Amino acid sequence: MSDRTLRAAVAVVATAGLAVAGYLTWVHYDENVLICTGGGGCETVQRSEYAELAGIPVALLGLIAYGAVLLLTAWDAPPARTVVAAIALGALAFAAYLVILQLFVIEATCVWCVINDAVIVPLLAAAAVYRLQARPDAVRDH
Amino acid sequence: MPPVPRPGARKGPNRNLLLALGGAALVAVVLIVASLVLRGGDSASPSTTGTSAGGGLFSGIPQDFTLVGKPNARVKLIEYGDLQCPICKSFSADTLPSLVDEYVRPGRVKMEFRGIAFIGPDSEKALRFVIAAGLQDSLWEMQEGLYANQGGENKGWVTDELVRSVASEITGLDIDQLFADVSAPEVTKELQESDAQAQAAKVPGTPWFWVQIGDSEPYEIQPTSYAPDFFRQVLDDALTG
Repeated sequence: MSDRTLRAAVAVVATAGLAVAGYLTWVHYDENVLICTGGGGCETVQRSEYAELAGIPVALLGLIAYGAVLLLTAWDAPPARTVVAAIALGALAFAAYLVILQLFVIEATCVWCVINDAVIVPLLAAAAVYRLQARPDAVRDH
Repeated sequence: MPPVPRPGARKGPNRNLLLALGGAALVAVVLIVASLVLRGGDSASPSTTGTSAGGGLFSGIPQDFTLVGKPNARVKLIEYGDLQCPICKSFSADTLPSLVDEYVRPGRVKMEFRGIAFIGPDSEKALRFVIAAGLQDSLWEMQEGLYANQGGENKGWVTDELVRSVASEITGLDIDQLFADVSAPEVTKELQESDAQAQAAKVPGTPWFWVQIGDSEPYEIQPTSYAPDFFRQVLDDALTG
C-alpha cells in the first residue's frame, strides 16, 4: 500500500473520529439534547462520573486528539508521523479502558462511544503504525 | 564470528515505532490514572444508593392516582418519564423538590406523571409498581424512591426487596396491597394509556414535558435546561398567561 494511500486513510479515519467526538462533545454541553431515547445507554455514559476528567469532557479530549492528528498528518514530517502513531496508540489503550468501564463499571454502553472506541480508534492506530513501519522507499513514493 | 547483519536490513520494530509506543504508553497511563483520580460529573453509578423515598417532599399535598397538587390548580405540568432514565433521575433529585415547594405545595400548579417504559424490562416492572402505588395515592413518593435507587439499565435492579425497602418508607402505603396491584387491570390500563398518549404526542424521549392551562390544549415545552430556573420561567409564564 502506498504512503499516499496510508496518509489518506489516516486523514479519513481521523475526520470520522473528529465528527463522532464533536457530536459527543456537543451532546455533553447541550442539555437540550440530553434526553433518554432508549438508544443504548448514551445518557447513562454521558452522565457518569467517568465522562469528565478534571472537569474536561472525555469527548472534548478526543476532539482535540483527532484535530491534532489531522494537523500532524497535514504537516507530514517524519517526527509528525511518530507523534501521530503515539497519539493513536495511546488513544487505543485509553479506548480499551473506556470500553471496559462501559461494560463493567457504568454497566451501560453508548453506541457512539463504542463506534469510536472499537472501530475508529483501532483503525487509526493500525493505519498510523502501518505507515510508520512502511519501508522508506514506500514512504517517499509521492 | 557471529553473522554480521546486512546494512539496511530491517529486523524488529523500527526506532520510530519504539518512540511511538513509549509515547503512547505515557499518554495512556496519564489518561487512565487521571480518569480514575480526577473523574467528575454526575454520578450515575449503577449500584443501589439506598436513598430514601421522599423525606416528606410530598407530605400533606393531595394526590390522586397520577396527579399531585391541589385539584383546582389552574396550571398542570405533565411529565413523561421512564424509571430507568438517568436524566429523569437527575430531574427528580435536582429540580422536582424546588418545583414542589414553590409551585405545587402552595397550590399554584399540579403535576401529572405519565410513565413510559421504553428502555427495557426493568422500566415496565418499576413503572407497574409506581402506578400500583398510585392506586393508593402514593405514586410520587414511589417514583421518587425508585429514581433515587436507580440501577444499571435492565440489570434486574427492580427487585422485590428494593421495592419493599422503598415502599416501607412511604407513610400509609399498604405494601401487600401494592404487590397485589402490580398486575391489576387498572395498572395495565394506565400503562397502555400513558404509552398511547406518548405516541400520540410524539414524545421523543424522557424526560419530556407538557403544560396545560385550565382545560385548554396542552402544549409541549422544549427544555433548554433541566435546572429549576428553566421550569420557574415556564410555570410563571403559564400562571400569568
